[in-house]
Amino acid sequence: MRTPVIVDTPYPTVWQTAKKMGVSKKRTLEIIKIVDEIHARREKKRKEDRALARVKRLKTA
Amino acid sequence: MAGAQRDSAFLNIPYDPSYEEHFLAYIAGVAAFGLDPRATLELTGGERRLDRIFKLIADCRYSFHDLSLVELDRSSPATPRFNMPFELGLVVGWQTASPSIHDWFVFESSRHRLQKSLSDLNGTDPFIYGPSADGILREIRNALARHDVQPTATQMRSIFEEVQEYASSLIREEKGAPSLFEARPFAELVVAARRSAEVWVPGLLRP
Repeated sequence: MRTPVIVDTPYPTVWQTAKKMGVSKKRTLEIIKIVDEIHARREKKRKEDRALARVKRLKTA
Repeated sequence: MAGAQRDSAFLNIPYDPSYEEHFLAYIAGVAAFGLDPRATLELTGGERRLDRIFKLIADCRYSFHDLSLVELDRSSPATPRFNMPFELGLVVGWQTASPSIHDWFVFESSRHRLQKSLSDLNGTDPFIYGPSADGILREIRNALARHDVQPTATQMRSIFEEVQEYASSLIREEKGAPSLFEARPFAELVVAARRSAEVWVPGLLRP
């Protein structure tokens, strides 16, 4: 069996990554906002789906 | 190389529209482990391309080489894609010269194909991911590990989905240049993946 390679470097922050990739501070803020919106939307949908599934389960019980 | 960035991983993958989903899976998977993906897409400037590729490789602590599309391309004249095996060769030479500072991983979609396409690598076990992008996430999880916090399959899948959604918004925004295989979209995807990973794997954040 193969042994995985251990990654032991500290996790870079989004700002460190942006600097390395040459993305401006302004654009980084925009990207953070877009990704956070995507995340919030998906979380909301996940919660709604879970609630719906619960209701369905209760109805069939 | 003393200046190798220990949190960077070189992605040696095909830049092909049919490969877009896999491309995003590599970005998301590598970012989930706290590594910044790098690729030759970033290379601009006047210096000889080969020198810049080598510099980029030497700057990275890890590299992922996907040889699944080493085949004849569709556009005329039909030619095999030599770039990926060539860059893998550069890495193998580099790693042999300085063994402790670089780890490389070969990824393939089908079993036994590598033995035929690149028999010089016999004895090297490629990571076989099958047809789907999920397979790439799984095999990155097989290749890498962290002692502090190990990203879970669900976390990696969620980061991947968010990066996919970000890529769609990027394509909508950039009506004139809808390819993700360019310097700016790539840089932004890497930043988006890092942000998503920060949210999904909070245990890996710096104190």
